[in-house]
Amino acid sequence: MRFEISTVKSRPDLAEQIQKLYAGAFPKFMDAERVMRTYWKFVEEEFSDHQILFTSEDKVIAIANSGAFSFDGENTELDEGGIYWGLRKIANDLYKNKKPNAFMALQITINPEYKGKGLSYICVKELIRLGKEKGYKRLFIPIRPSAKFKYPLMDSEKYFNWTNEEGLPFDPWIRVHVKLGAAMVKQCKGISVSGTIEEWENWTGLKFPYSGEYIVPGALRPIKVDIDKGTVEYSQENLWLVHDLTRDTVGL
Amino acid sequence: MTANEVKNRVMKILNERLELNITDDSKFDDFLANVGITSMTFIKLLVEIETEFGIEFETGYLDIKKFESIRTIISYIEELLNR
Repeated sequence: MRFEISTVKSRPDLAEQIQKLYAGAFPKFMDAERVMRTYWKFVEEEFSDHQILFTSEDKVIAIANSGAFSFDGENTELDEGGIYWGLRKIANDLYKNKKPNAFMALQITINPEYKGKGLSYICVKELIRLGKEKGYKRLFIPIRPSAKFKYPLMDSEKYFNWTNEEGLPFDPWIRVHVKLGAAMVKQCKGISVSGTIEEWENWTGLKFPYSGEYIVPGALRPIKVDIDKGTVEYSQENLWLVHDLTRDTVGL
Repeated sequence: MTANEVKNRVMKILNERLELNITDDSKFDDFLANVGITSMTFIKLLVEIETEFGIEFETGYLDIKKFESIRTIISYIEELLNR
């Protein structure tokens, strides 16, 4: 497949397509996630060369977003706060003039029309290439397991360790990274979304008449409904993956 | 730390680090956007406040929509300092 690589900022003419792709990539309730939304503009502006855009004849086919920070600890010392910890660290290190030696992938979004064409590998390789060019030592990914939503009742730790017949991770996105050399480190927190029962009913098209746990489409685990408080809480569990950029990467 | 000290330190951050030119508290109840605090400046403000006061915003408060005005930010700082 032929494609061009640029940055989100360099293609303002594609802004509408980009927003459409982001909007359609996740379940509706994810639109109410607030922390990533608060940091998004900051990351896009301050790390504009880290927002990689993949296009094919002016059609947006994928986007890989990331931001950089400094981290000297062992992989196992990565914070359990996951993506929110990483966003906070990106901002802290930038405004305290701390030179980054690593970076964190925030999101890879692939146009559904182009799924199954190996774009996931291309996106990760491009992130690795960017990191190597910048002189970063590691690429951190607090990964949201892409097929966990099909198994919302399965314990996350078990899901992360679930392997296929080839001994590779069952989860497609984790598998892509591991095949490209990433180490699976440890579980961490993912995003969280809070809302009223009415909001959640609108987002999901379901009814929540009693307190308790409910499975909703697209959620990695059940949501928690509290009728007395009128609230719904949802949080995800992610997995820290690490690419060592000082080593050779397959296909680069 | 007194409420006045918190207010003065926040004012100093707004003026010296964010260059917003807020000389008194008459704009403290204005919407953040109306005093020039966008989502970009909010992130810098967070970093500066956490450093200045040695506090850490809770995850749920890493959200510009949680704060209507400078006064609500100051109230949250006071809440964290008094815990």
